[in-house]
Amino acid sequence: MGDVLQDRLLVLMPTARDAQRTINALSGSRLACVACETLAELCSKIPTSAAALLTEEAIARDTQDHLGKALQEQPPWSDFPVIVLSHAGGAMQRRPTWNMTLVERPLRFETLRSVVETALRHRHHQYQIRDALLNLTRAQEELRAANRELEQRVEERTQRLRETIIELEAFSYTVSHDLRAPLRAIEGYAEALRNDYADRLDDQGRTFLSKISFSAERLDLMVKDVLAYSRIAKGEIELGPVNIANLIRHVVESYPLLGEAGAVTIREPLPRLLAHPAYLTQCVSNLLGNAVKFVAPGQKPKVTIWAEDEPPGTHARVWFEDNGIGIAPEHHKQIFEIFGRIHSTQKFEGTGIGLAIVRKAVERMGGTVGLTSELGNGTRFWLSLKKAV
Amino acid sequence: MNRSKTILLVEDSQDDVFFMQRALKEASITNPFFVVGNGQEAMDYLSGTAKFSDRSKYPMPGLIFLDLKLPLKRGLEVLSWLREQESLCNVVVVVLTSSQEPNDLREAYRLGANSYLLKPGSTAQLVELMKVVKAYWFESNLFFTVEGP
Repeated sequence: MGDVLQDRLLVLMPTARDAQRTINALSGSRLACVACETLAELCSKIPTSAAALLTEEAIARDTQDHLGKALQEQPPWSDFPVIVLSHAGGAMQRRPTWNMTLVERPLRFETLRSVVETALRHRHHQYQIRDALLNLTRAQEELRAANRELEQRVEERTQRLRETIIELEAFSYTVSHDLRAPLRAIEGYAEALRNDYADRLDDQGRTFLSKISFSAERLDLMVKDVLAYSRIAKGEIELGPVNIANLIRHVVESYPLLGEAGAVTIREPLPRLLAHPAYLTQCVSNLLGNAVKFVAPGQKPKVTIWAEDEPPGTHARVWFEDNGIGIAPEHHKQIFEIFGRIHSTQKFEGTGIGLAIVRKAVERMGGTVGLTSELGNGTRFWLSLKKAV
Repeated sequence: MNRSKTILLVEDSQDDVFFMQRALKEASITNPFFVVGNGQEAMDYLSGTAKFSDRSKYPMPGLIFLDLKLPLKRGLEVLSWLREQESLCNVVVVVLTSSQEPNDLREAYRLGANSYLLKPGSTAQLVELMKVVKAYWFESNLFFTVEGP
């Protein structure tokens, strides 16, 4: 119990001499005491610059309204001890809301000192609570500030990311678009050369020419697919209810190989889905196209399509099962990437963007795509899309 | 028969002009055929000004193939201007471009294009397209002619 303001004992006595005598009596016990002359002075010290009050019963009674008010305005952690010296037979009213200790006169000095020391010890615990609360509040504020700063940084990064994505998509669209003009020229002049000068070329010359045409054509297909991907990635999207069974039938009509009897079986009913018709058509077209393409030589492609509800019931899963060459599990992730094709173009033609387009389109429609497959055992692709209510 | 209908090609790419000429020939389109390389020249030709004032040398076209990406004045500007001219508002305009931008599609039709064609990727496809153009525009479609300036 040092010299600090908040550890002082306030003494309020009828006269200055009484106060001084009391203080002297307590002086041996290393208590810091200060005599208050006025009530106002007392009340102003209670909040932050005193540990306890020692006073006379008569004064306590006379000042109880003012004192009571000062005590009521304490912060939650504070329970200011009030030690009241009474007269025998005094009529001090019970003040249950005060932290009051009544000490009867005549009193022994040891009694007074022990009561004062106890009061000061209590007060010290209160100070510890006060400091802990202060630290807690400060920590909370720091946390809130850190959170705010973090959120701000996240928002800035997200915005930068969004802008970068938009730039990249615009770039890829422009590049793909601008690549097609020179490609047209390469193909066109190779064709013109073949038409006008074929007879002046030997076999090898003609072969070289057809390789030029073939490459240009292949490049054009890849550029068209990248364009399709860009369009789906950045294009406007409006979802509406779609009858996927009808949509699949339309796609099948445009594929001569699929149109063959028995090649595509739809196990109805298929649920109505919330989708973008053009994008969904592209997905179905790419999936069916793959099913037809990736079969063992001599094998007739067969695709079965069915659907099931996905828990918790907002989405439905549409399965596309084929009898093709299958895909090894280590390739399941890669096939959905742009140019992520596994087989060389010698074995199977294609641009390597078809499944990337499927995944992007499905994602933009709020769904997911996946597959189960093993080498040699066919593949089961699935699209998970929202059901139309 | 509309074999006398003059065709005006508004196209800045020399390569595409070359391929169009061959394709028209392959498709047996023998109509008189003129080429301008930018939007301003297109407007000069159609209004019979600058070097195009002699209509006997530069007849009014019945059908215009209009590219959209042109230097000086863009294709859509030419189209917009053209439709505002009394004497030109009925000329058949077929947009022939590599752009599939929804904006371009919307604006082209809004400004009064009669048709919107994409430049095909191969010569063979271009020839097929020109054969279709011949069959539809020059052998089926009826033109409304107004003698131009």
